[in-house]
Amino acid sequence: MKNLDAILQELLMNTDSEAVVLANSDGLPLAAINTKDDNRIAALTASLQSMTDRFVENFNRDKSKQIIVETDQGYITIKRVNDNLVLMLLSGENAKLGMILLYVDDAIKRINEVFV
Amino acid sequence: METDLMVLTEKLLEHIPENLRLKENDIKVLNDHLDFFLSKADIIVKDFYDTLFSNEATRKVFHEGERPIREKSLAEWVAKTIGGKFDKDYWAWQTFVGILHIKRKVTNDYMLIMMHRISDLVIGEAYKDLPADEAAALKTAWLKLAGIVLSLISESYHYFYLVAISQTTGIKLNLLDNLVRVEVDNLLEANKKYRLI
Repeated sequence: MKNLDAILQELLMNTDSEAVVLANSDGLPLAAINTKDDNRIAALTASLQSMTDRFVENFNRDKSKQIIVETDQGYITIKRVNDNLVLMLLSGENAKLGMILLYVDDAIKRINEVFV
Repeated sequence: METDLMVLTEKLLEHIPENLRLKENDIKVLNDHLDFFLSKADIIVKDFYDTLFSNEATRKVFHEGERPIREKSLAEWVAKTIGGKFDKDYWAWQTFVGILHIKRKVTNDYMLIMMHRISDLVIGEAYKDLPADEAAALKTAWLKLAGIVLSLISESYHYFYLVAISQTTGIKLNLLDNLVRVEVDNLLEANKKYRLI
């Protein structure tokens, strides 16, 4: 989808990130940029989201809002777009977490507008 | 995700081709030979557990001193099966056994080879003790029954294994299926040298 690709491309540029994938809750990719294996990354992204939700359920908490993985090479951010979609953003070591979260929220808002 | 055992059993039974299902005459043949099976129960049970205990891997499935309990349980299975009505409750019981096997770590390879051994014994004893045409009818009915039991237990084992992972992790079955699909080609590629045709 052209709109989705444009939103994801913009997200990559604004956050100095390397790759992004938008997956559905079954782990199928809807859109992806720069991921070597879209199917695998989409499936793993949806799995991490599901596992985190089940994990927090054990503490009587609501669903998780986001997962942030910090590595020596930068952040991996996974965020729920809505009940059916989840976004994964792979950022480099120079990327700023505040900017990542700001632009991820903006991208999520725009993605949801695409599906209205 | 279907976790109702009865509903799942009905779905699995629908997978069985019509000509491989137990018909009224098969059930009658089995029921009519209840005494034959009961007279052979000791032989079947002894051989079954002798075989399992003769192998280190299968012996490990059992706890110390458990054999008499399991022998009684197998003898009861034979009696309940052969004298049974083969109704929905009976088939659901076989599906339940698949879950029990997960708990007991009775993997499908053990289960399949041992059911084959029971079939071998039943058919051998039938041809030894019964007229040939009667033994042939019993063989047909028994093999149909064994086939259905094997398909229910093995698929139940596989299905509920995935259900357990799904319920623990929150990963839906569709998503689990996708995770498998993204890896299966790699597995095929890594092992392609073993493909004979």
